Amino acid sequence: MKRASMKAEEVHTPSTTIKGLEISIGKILGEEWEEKMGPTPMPSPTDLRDWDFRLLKRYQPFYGPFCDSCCLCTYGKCDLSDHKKGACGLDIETQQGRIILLACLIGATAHGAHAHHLVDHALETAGDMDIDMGEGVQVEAPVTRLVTGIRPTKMSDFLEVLDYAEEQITHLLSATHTGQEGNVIDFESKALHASMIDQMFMEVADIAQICHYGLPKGDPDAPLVDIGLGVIDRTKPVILCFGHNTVPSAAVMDYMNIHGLYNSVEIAGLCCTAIDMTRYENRAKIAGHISHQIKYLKTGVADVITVDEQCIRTDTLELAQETGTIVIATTDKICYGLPDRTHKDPQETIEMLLNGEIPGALVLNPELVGEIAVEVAVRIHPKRKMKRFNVKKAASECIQCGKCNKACENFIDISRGMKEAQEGNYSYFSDVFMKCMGCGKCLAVCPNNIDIIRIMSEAAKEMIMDEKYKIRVGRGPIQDTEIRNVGQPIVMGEIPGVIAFVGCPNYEEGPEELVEMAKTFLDRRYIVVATGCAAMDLAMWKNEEGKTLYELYPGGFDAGCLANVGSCVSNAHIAGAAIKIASIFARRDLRANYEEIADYILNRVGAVGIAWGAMSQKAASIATGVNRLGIPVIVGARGAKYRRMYLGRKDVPKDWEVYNARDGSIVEVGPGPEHLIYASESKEEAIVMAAKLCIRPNDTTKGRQIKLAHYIDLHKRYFGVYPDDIHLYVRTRADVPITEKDTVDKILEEKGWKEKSIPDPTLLERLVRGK
Amino acid sequence: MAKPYFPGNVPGIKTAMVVTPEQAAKIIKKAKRRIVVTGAQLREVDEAIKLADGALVVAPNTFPAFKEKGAEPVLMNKVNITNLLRDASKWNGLDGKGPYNLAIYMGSPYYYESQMLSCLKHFSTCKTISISRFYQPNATYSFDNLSEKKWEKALADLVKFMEE
Repeated sequence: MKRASMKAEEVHTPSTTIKGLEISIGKILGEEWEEKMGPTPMPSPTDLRDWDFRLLKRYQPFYGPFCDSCCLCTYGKCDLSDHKKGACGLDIETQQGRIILLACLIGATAHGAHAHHLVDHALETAGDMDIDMGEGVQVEAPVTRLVTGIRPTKMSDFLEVLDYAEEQITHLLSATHTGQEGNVIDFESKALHASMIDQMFMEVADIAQICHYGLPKGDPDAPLVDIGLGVIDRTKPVILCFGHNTVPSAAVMDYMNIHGLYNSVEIAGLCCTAIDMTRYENRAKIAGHISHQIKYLKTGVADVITVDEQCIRTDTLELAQETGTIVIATTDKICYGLPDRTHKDPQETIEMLLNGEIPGALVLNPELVGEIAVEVAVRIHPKRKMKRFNVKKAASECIQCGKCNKACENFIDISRGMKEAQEGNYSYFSDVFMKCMGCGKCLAVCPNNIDIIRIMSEAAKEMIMDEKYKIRVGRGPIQDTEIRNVGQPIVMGEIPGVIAFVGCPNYEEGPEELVEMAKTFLDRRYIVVATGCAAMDLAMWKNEEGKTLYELYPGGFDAGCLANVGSCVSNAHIAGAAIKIASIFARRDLRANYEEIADYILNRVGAVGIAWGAMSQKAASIATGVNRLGIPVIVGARGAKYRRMYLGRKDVPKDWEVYNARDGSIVEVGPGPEHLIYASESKEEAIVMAAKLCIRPNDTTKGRQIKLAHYIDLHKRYFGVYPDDIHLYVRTRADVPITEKDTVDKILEEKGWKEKSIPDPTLLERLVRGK
Repeated sequence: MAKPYFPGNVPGIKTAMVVTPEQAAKIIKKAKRRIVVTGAQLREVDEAIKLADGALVVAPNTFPAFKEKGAEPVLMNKVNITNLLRDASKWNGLDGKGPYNLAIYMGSPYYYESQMLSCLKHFSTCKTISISRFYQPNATYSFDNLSEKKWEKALADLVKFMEE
């Protein structure tokens, strides 16, 4: 027994009577978990430093600073150009490490606060429930087990996990203060630590919501739901939920359910809240991702918008007021200056919203959010009359100054669109509509305050109506049984790799590139998984028969499958799957054994993340978190703006030495994986790089053959030639793909290739079994 | 003073000197060892070939276009070549004959090129010149923001001055 609790309605003592007595005593007895405690339970910021230094010796930080100066204290601004130090002693390189740490901390805390809110909410409303992730998932919290040594069995167990994690975040944030850390690699080590904590925050958040709301528990056959700009029936009252924390939107759906309103009210979400809403209730719809927020706001589609947290336009209230949409802020993260109506009569709040007394309300009680949002939407919908918007007339204000073009990072020729719109031709704007990432920078620079986004949205109206697709509901964790089935072929290399499409939609070309990348790997029988906005964009394509990727490929964790794992916080299940391969398939100790498991993944598990449109600080910490586990990540060209990559040098053989765990000898294994985080300039480059990054030192010869066959074939297909580094990945002639034997043999000869042994690879000397 | 094409892309203290095609040609000719580095969006294959003096690194997806023209460039991702140039004082170049002291950059998305150039600005001894269409403040030297037509002419002029 781990805890004791006692409740009594009434207790009589000689001196008094106590009513409603409840006593809870924390853990009073030892662990039920048989696995012995590993070497690093609840590691401090320095406990895994050796591992980080090993990684960063091979994968050195590459910085492209955004800014030559530092302005974080009153000694500044300090000029850090030309190797000058600032007043505190930091140079430009160390300052980059500091900024990276800050970014990762921002990302981690967003998930951390989210996780804590979900756990508190679950405990408050449902008590201390069991952590039950379903029959197929016995290793319920691999990241938490790995980092803390705690196996959570009750919801309240997460409080101890969160206490630890939040303490780490405090230590790490303090290191960014002036006059603290002064070494760039130590800053990066701390960023890796913060991001590892972030992985745990995400895991706690998703487990809490899966258990509390009964979301799918690793269901490969999760239902298909509607997604797209055209799925909303605008003849009905419309409620849109923006953000990432599903507590308030679940309450809205509960209210609709109780009152039988699903046929008469439309509810849809944007961003990860949307994904989680459909995990809870598959009659909800996904209106799209973050890029479309401003378009919905500008066109006034919603009668009511609820905002929870993360990645929501901060001017949502201002834009909503333009079209008379009511905004309900639902968490302490986003209050917009709205009156707090949490403890007021909801009917009074509803009346105030309906009569325009207030443009929105802060309501921190989810049940009240449900009532207010639905009642307001139902009553305001018949009264709302959108002003007719004359596209041609609005466009006629354009003076062709071109400032909007210079503001658009996607190089949309807005001036051209305006000119054509002035002539009544809307085809250009309609064509580029999906390419618009909805940043709204064009609006900010227009000297005539032209509502460019509205014009573009109206121009694309007909196209939008046809934007209807299907996405598989986020399935949650990968089942232990699936890991048992694919563990061996992944580690041996026979399944060529696991490719995870994650992150935001900040890219130039819309969803098509992402779809092409995913399809390439699906057709080659890689395991493809997806989360968040990337999972949404993968749905935004149909084949000639009108089928989306989710309809064409099964939802399991297996070769040739496409598994939508869930929202941003579900990313933890991808890291969790890699951890479970080490634990379940290879039977490595999991509990508080971070270094060994990360070493296993780096050397054996061919998993790669593609965050093609990574935008946020959360994406930075998610990527850095899996990097610490030895999983490389490719970001798109915009990802270069994170200003840091971890790059290997394949031209330096010494960097690729490992211990052979069998005898302790040092063996050069070739540059696999070549980089840990890498910004790719084109989709072709990303596809080829992803295939290459799946190569691991432990591949069997058969596995290496398969991986090299894909790498060579993709390289030839996209670049027209054989790769110039094949010789670095061929250890013995048995590694050479049979179909490529003649050519590769010739290349090996030209390069002076020599056969190498295939070790039992590890970076950790302590894992050497014998000398 | 030139402004970055995206007005927000202001690096601060150290910004590129704007050069004309004639000045760019002089700088390039004067360089002891130069390398041309082109990106995934490059269309100006002929100009890149003409500007290279043996050392030409191209983004892999553009390689077939160079092959068609009979060129034999080195195929390498821009991140990788920039990472090698970052280590310019130690890296002996594609031919092993010594470090480059000038890198000519072109043909990448604006923001991506900007980050590559920023890396070299701060961490490399190799100077850079950007001859893309838009001003790149993180280069050592850069063309100004130019219209499509003016840029085409600037590139043609640069090649002409190089041949003189």
